[in-house]
Amino acid sequence: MTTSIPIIAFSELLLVTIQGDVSDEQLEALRAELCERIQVTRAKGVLMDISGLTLVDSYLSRTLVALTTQSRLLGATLVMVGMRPDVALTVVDMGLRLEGVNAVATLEQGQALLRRLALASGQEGGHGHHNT
Amino acid sequence: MDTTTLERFSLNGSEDVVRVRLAVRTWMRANGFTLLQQTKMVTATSEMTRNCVTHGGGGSAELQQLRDGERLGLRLRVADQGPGIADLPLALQGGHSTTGCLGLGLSGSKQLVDDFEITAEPGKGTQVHITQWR
Repeated sequence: MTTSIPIIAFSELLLVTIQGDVSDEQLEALRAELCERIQVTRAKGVLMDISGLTLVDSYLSRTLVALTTQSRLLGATLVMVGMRPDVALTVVDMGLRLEGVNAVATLEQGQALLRRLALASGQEGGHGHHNT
Repeated sequence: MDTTTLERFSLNGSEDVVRVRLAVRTWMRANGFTLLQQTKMVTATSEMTRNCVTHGGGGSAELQQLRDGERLGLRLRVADQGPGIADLPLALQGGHSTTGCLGLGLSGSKQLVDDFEITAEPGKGTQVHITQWR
């Protein structure tokens, strides 16, 4: 009974919403699905709302890094939105680093960051960005 | 100290990892643990049960309620009959990784809970106990 994680296209972006407790299979499916959607829509940005995600363990941490990297390789910048404070504290205490993963608090901040990066890459001739 | 068994699980696939996580979250929420205590314990639970499924070839888990005077605690016991861990001290330092991030999961989980005990002699499987006190 695996339900898939929704990916919604809006104003040239993709919005992924991860809610509650997700299984490894749902995350694997999301990785494949997101690749396909970026390729089909040519979206330059992905906002991933994790404000409803209740845990980030080492597996999820690897998945978030993988999602960030694979999006970048396909020409899109992924921004993680709204990590819960208890989850952030737990991630840090575990020694997980989530290296290269962009993080902001709200969807508006995420959109603003993507706009800034798009402008900057326009001026620099299209280099990829994965700043924190 | 009084120990009461709350629930037993067999661990064969990742759905079982989710089931145990949800059981831990539900019990801790109902018994007045803070959100941070819940999330730390659920995260450590996830690491231990997934290790059991992916490295130990599956096994079993048991949730226990602990009562020590005024103190209330939750203990998770996970056991498998897998290969054990060849260099446990190294694995607990977090640098060790045979498939994926076993070491980081183990060493990290140790930081999340109040008590962490592991025995993992090669050939004798792995037994882990993790406990969070309210």
